[in-house]
Amino acid sequence: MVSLLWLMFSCGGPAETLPPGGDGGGDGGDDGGTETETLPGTGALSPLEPPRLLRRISLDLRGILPSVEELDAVEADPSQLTALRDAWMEDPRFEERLVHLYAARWHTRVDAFLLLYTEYLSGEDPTREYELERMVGEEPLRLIARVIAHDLPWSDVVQADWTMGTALMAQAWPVEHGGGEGWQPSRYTDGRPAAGVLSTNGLWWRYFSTVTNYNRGRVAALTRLLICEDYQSRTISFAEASGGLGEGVVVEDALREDPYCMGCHSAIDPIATTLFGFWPANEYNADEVDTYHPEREAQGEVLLQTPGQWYGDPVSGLVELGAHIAADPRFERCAVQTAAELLWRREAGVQDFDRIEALAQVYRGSDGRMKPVLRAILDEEVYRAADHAAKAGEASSENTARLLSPDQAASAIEELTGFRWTWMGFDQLDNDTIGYRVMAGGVDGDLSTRMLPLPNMTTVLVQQRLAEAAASHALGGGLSGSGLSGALGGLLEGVDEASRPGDPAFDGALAALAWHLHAERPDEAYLAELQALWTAVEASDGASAAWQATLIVLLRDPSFLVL
Amino acid sequence: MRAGLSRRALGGLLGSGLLGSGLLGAGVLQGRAFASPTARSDRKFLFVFCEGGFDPTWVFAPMLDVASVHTDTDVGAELREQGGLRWVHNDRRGQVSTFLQDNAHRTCFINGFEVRSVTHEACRRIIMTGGTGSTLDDWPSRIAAASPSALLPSLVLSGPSYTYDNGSAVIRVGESGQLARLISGEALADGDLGVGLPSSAAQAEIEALLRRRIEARMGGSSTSQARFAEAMRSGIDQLGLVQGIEGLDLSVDADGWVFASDRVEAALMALELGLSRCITVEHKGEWDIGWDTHSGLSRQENNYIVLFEDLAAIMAALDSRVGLSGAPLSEEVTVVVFSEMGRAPGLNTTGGKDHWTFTSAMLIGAGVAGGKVIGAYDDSFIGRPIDLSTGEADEHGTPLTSQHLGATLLELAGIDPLAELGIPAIQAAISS
Repeated sequence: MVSLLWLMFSCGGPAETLPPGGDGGGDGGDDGGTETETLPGTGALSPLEPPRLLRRISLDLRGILPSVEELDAVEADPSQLTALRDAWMEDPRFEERLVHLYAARWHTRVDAFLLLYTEYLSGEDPTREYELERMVGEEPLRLIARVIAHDLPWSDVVQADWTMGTALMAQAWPVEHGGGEGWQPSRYTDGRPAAGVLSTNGLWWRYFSTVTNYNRGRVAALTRLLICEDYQSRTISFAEASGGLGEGVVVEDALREDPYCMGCHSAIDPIATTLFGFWPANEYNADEVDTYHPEREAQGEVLLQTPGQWYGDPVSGLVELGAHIAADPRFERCAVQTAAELLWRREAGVQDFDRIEALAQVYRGSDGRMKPVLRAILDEEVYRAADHAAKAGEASSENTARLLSPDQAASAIEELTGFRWTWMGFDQLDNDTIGYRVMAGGVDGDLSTRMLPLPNMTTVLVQQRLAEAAASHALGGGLSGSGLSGALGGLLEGVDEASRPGDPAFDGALAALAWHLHAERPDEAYLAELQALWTAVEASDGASAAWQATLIVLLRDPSFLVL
Repeated sequence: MRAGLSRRALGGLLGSGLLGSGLLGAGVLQGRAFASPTARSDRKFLFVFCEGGFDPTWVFAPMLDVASVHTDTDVGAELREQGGLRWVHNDRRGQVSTFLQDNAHRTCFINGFEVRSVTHEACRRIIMTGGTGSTLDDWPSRIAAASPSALLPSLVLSGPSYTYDNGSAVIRVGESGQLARLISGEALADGDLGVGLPSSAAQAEIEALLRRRIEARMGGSSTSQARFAEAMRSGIDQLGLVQGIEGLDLSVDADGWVFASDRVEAALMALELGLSRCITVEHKGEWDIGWDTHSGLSRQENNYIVLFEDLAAIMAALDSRVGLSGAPLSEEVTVVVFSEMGRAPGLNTTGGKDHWTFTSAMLIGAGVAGGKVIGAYDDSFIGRPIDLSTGEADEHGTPLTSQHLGATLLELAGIDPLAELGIPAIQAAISS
């Protein structure tokens, strides 16, 4: 991702700009129109049918499918969608979903950090490895999610005087847990300044600095994530350095004196100076790595030979750094661009300049809060598109048939069946050490940094096994009712071992199940095929197995896997 | 571990009707199975990625007499040459010289190309794709996508993989061999909750209905839905064919090292059977620690020892196996040994070496102009421009970048690099 502002200047301005999408105010807009709108330069976007749009929004905001009642309501009156959307943004699951959404950009939910879980949980149950690794990687994401979900100013991401912590974190780190279950606002007690994610172990363990890198790599991550200034996207050549990095040239000197290097390092190094509380004097020493060093905060100025600055403005310490970042105009634009890209499932291009600007206006109009921005994105035509007809001879630049992410599949199926695929404490759709996150199309934050846009062999295989496991879990005990958990229990209410195709209860349950899972009314032909499947399996394996087979085929259907 | 699936077994598969049912790639696979092994379009690749940044001066780039470049200056380091190949020898790592002496005729070094960044993440992307953009496909997936008939076109055993358009060509085995467990269904037994698979009869009914649904979607009016459904069908077809190959074992030892022999065994089998065009495997050296030696330079030596021991085993295995064409597999496979960056010429304050944009790569096997050292470093360890046709340093020549490495690989694969990248291949590295 790069800043669109940068794109504009580097390309001489937007070649083809588009009318701002949505109503720009984030208060609703057209819910469910079906006209095809021709957009200059991009071909035609056609919108989703209202129930499918509801499904997309529900999965993006809550990670679960809309209920049959919600689908019925929006089918009857598409304007109902706005109220549902707003209600879902107050749902506790919204905050949880944001963690996963932003993980696709922040890349902190990796499976391995420099320090192993055994450093903290020696002698304890090894099945807690996953818990500790996610504790580290989710810390900044939980803070981001809380800021958005609780409608706090986005600037709190770099200015909050709290972090998010768990009881385990309080056990492992110098953190005072806020009490209560799960993730709660917490505080470090080791004397580090509090500046939102800038003060978190989680961010800086993921974006680690070697001794001799002096936090420069961390600055590259920080600017990429917070102001969409990606220094790593700029290629460099040591051969082309003005003085050459040749014999006798000390690299550290060149970074300060060679104009070729200074182009970036005159900005990077003064920021790196401000991060020295996290700098390890020995990266192979665990105590060095996992400890904040207040006494080293001033050392950066000595080692990097530059005072702390944020693009020329003097900065002293993390708190001032956070304030300068928050005041940078790129901060707000990056915030809205990032959110749009995450929900669009594609990178913003020059053609999106006006869209992003419209979202930035929403941001400014809401005192820098992200909830209204998210609402505006959800109202926007790119988000709502079902299909994109590119201009003749051009490949589509849109990702309109989006693959359900592993976390969405996991949470939706858990809500439906009560099944969560875990092993040895690991969520199998949320790790790659023993699990299937990347194989399901997801992001590991290290070697895989982009969601797979289309299914492949491993995604269909993971989905097959997930569907089989969930169906077996939910229905393996029969149709007694007591064994059914999750939404499935309600959908199959009234169905028993004696129910057969043609019975009103059976036919109604089957149609409702398909409607719930796909947000498309099943036509007679499809229902007949499902009934035929059920009948064939029932004849050989019994009613319970027949329902399992029916559920499996519905969960593996493209209508389920497409977001 | 290996079940010994042979060409005869594959022949049986081809004749079984499984591949004749209109499934993806079947007809193409039949047509391609016995094509000429010398055709570039049939050439296969094994990418051995040395994670962390190896130091070329320990083997590929002799700088022993250059005071400004810190290298293996301990007693015993000396220049060795055989058949045009020159490298750094030291008795402490005799495995390196043994390998290069045995394989000099089919081994080529490319020295002094620049990976234009100094961070691991950016360099990994650049060395694999030629640039920093997230919309670039990596070399293995580009090559694999040109061979849609392969069942597992680009098989990633471990290491980086970057795709944009070619995601469907890339199949990951999983860090602990998860793919095999998924295929067999054992993955369900791993769960904390006991589950059971549908009966085979039920499975058949499910697959039939699912296929009808997908095909209906493929014929629908929505372009994006059709594309999605087509990708699903391809995946399911691939899976069906892979499951149908009795004896194909993609499992790995869950607690083995990343470069464990059983993992490479799966790779060799996939190449032998023509299932894959490209294999990617990460090599993290001794104790699986990697090559990022900001301190403790001796780890470079130990890593090279392990690397060349493994390469010797791989080449021996490729020599002993027969490809689909009837020729030794080593005549069909190009082995690419590379790292995301090099290491600085001087020592840092902790006695190690920091990142450096210039590095080297080694090509071995099919299509490679053996016994050659392409390119050179100057006394500042900056890569020198070269004449792409001779590989010799030429001050008026072309400065090499990772794009030239990629262009050379594409050319070796029968893909026009000028059309794909606008970058010419290093012709001097290519024999055929």
